Amino acid sequence: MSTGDLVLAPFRSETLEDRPSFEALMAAHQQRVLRTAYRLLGRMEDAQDVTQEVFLRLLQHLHRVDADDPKAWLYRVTVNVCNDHHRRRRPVLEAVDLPDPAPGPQHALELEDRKQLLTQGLATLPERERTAVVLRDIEGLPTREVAGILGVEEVTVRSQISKARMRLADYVRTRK
Amino acid sequence: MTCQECRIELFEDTPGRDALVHVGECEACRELAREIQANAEALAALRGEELVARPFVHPRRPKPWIWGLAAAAALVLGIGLPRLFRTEVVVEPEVTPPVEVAQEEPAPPAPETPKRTQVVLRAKARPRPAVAPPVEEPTQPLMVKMLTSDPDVVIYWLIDPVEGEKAI
Repeated sequence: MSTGDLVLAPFRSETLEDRPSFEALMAAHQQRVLRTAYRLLGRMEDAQDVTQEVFLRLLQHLHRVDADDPKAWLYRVTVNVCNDHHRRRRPVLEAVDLPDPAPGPQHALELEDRKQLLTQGLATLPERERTAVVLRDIEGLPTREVAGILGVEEVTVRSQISKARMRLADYVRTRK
Repeated sequence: MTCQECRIELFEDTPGRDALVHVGECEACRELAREIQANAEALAALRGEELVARPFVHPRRPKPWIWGLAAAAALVLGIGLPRLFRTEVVVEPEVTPPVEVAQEEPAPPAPETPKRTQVVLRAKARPRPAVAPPVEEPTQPLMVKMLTSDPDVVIYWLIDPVEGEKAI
């Protein structure tokens, strides 16, 4: 083939049939959205409202969302809807109904205690720090992705996460 | 490295080598590092919790054809119902009985038939003329029988509508 030949990349037209359905997207990501909203708001009822709102927006903007990887879009919308929710209502701390820990190693008991304390501690964090630590430490997103979702610099996210971890450690230490 | 500098680094994602060396030497910082590690594990464990999701409620979408259907239904009802229950006034034609004229004893005038107006309620599919068609004029000559005092003499009076009257 001479250098002058035009090489066409294989073209794949995306049709509606190729895209995952709304139901499939919801089944795949509902827990993620609900969990994030719950950690950000601290109340299950509010988290369920936010989840409904997020998927309603997904339904409305399905044609614009990257259906193959809507994670970032969903996180961004979840955070925005939670922020809107925060402006209407102060975050509250719901009494967490933890299951009775099964008799077992002391580590499991400590882990459950710590999870409850951290859940309470999250509610005391400033909004931006809470969002950053939920996305980074609970959802396990890379710092770069968190920065993209929040629309800030990576260094800002690192600083927010660091401060949030420090506050959470103090909260847990003073209550143990 | 001081404990304060080490503490700051420990809360970051990847503490520096100096901080790790300091942790190896300082019991307090080692304890803090364990605490931070336990917190990180507990936060990550929150990710695995299965929460009860509420079923998604699909929003009601407006159906454009429903307005067309409603308009068609209104049109049918607006036009069809009045036609179905229309009140029609039918005037029956006046019936005039033949006049019998007696020469000497004229018959008393026939009682005037009252004009009857009947109100009929009926369901109609197609319009009908409100008034019945006019009665055709008789083309045969009108005959008037006149009796006299003599029972053998009877006068017949023929009135031709075209040519005029004629006595027999």
